[in-house]
Amino acid sequence: MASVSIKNIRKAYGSVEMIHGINVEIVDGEFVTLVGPSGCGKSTLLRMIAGLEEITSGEIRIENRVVNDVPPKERDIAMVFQNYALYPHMTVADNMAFSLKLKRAPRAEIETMVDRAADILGLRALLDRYPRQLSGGQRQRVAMGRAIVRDPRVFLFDEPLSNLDAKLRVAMRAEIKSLHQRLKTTTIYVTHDQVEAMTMADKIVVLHGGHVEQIGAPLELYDRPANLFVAGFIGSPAMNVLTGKIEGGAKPAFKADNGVVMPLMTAPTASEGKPMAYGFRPEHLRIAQDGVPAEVVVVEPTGSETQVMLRLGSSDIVAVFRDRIAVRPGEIIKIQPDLEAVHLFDGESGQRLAA
Amino acid sequence: MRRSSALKPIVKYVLYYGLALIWVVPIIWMAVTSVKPTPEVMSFTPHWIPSSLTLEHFWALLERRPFFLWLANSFQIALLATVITIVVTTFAAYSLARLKWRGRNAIFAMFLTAMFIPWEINSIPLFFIVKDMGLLNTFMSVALPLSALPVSLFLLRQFFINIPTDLEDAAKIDGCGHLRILWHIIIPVSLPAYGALAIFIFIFAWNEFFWSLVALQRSGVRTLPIGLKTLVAASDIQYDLMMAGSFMATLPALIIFLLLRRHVIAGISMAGVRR
Ligand SMILES: Nc1ncnc2c1ncn2[C@@H]1O[C@H](COP(=O)(O)OP(=O)(O)O)[C@@H](O)[C@H]1O
Ligand SMILES: [Mg+2]
Repeated sequence: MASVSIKNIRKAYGSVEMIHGINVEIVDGEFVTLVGPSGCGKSTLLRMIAGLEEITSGEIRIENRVVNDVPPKERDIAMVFQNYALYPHMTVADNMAFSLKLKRAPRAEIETMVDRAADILGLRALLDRYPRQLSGGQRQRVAMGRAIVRDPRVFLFDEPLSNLDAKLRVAMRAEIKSLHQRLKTTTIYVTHDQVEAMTMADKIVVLHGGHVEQIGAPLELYDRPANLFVAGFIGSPAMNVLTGKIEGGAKPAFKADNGVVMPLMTAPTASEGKPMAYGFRPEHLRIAQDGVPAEVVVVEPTGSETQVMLRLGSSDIVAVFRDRIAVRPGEIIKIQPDLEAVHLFDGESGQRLAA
Repeated sequence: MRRSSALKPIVKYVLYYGLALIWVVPIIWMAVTSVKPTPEVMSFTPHWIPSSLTLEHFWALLERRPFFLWLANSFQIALLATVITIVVTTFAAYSLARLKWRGRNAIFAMFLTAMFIPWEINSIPLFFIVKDMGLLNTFMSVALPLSALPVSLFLLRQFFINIPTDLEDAAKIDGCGHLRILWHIIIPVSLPAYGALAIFIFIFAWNEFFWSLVALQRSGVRTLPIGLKTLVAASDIQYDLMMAGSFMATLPALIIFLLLRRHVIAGISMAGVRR
């Protein structure tokens, strides 16, 4: 187990910089997810931590040792790849034992370690099979087994579940999480799926275009997104955002560009007249007599909740109600966001404004 | 309707067998000629069905010519070429497929271009090189040039390129350097390609004629094709012995191919395909 410290890391391919100075501190035993849209540099960052990709500038430390020039095998890490990368010509047992054999570990130790990993992952019955004889979920397990056997100080995962079907993905998600609780090994987990990031992580790093947008605990990111990008990326369905300006006066309000006036608790200082973004999550909308009128477009009941697409002025927004409300498309309802749960962002920089 | 669908396969098979016949007829002719009496061999009208079978040409050949020496020479040269090709091409192909170095693409383009030059055209420069190396009349004079055919490099490089790089990354993390990656991952994963390459080079070397004729001039080092050529004298061609010899010369290659044909076909068809 180990801490990982990433200091001002940059990566350029040729003259094009893809990672623009990333700082992340990961404490011993933490489960950290790197999340962001496809192409934002998650894999590149992970591969630099693994030693598979050269670091253009900056410093990576694993347990206080600078590893920039340390080859992958000496970093004491294990990695699980998206397509599993199992050795096709080796049995499950040999796949798992490979790293130990290379280290010339004693045969008895290899057997103990492989058996232990096989027990943890329920692979006992599959030890003599070849990867081509396994299902996707089983391959995934073997890939994890290969990582566990090494007893590394850091686990690295690169979108390990994205090749599995939805149901298996949810099951494996829980399994990886419980594995982490059992082994307590520092884990860095890359995913483009914000739900995966939210449910698994102690700490989330949101990446976008080679920059860190925000680092924090899952609910911290959900409740106080640092900027518009994180606000839109974390949460499903996404946060509703209206652009407009603040109107001062005795009772401050938000005048959206779509013509609607939304209520505010307080206005940030000196914010009057500047372009702003007004955000509220779908589940923070209530039906209220003194609310803003909106037209129902689509109603989607899931049983546990009801999702309603609404037309608010000239914008489309989404509301989620825990109650089974009876509304029909075409109907006009009056809605109001919880004032405490309204987010304000600077219209130009997209940064969160203290409210 | 029914009749035409019943006819279709027949048309198809007539076509298949017709095409196959074009390749098979000379081989059958060779086989038949090698076992028919000499007068029928020499007669102007073709005798497809011999009036009687005889092995006299085989005995005559073995008696008058060092057939087994030629066979042994051919076999050694083909084996040498195959082994050297596999060793050398493995490193070259891996380097061209995976390692990053300046000029890599230029070098590969050079090899690609060389692939389109018929191998016999190299004979004259090759002769001086081999002579300067003091290799004339040695097995190496034929085996070495055959071990550097651009097509071998091309076949193996294409195969290596299609091996997922994640496999190598996983091996790096597990503790492999380049040599171990080659030995533990790349080579075992590429066995079908090696099978195809081995058969290709072995048979190419086994059949090689023109360059061997230039490089192997002492009688003791003659290979089968050159040996059989000695049956063609200025005044008279011993067709009967030649057919018997050719028939025997064809057998080893045929047997190797039949034994390994599944690998050849798999290897050739996999060479360009992502798995
Ligand atoms: N070897 C490479 N050469 C040039 N550009 C690359 C290379 N590898 C990745 N990139 C680029 O770097 C960016 C980040 O890639 P990656 O880290 O794989 O994204 P992610 O894993 O977040 O989807 C992408 O725009 C990608 O095109
Ligand atoms: Mg990726």
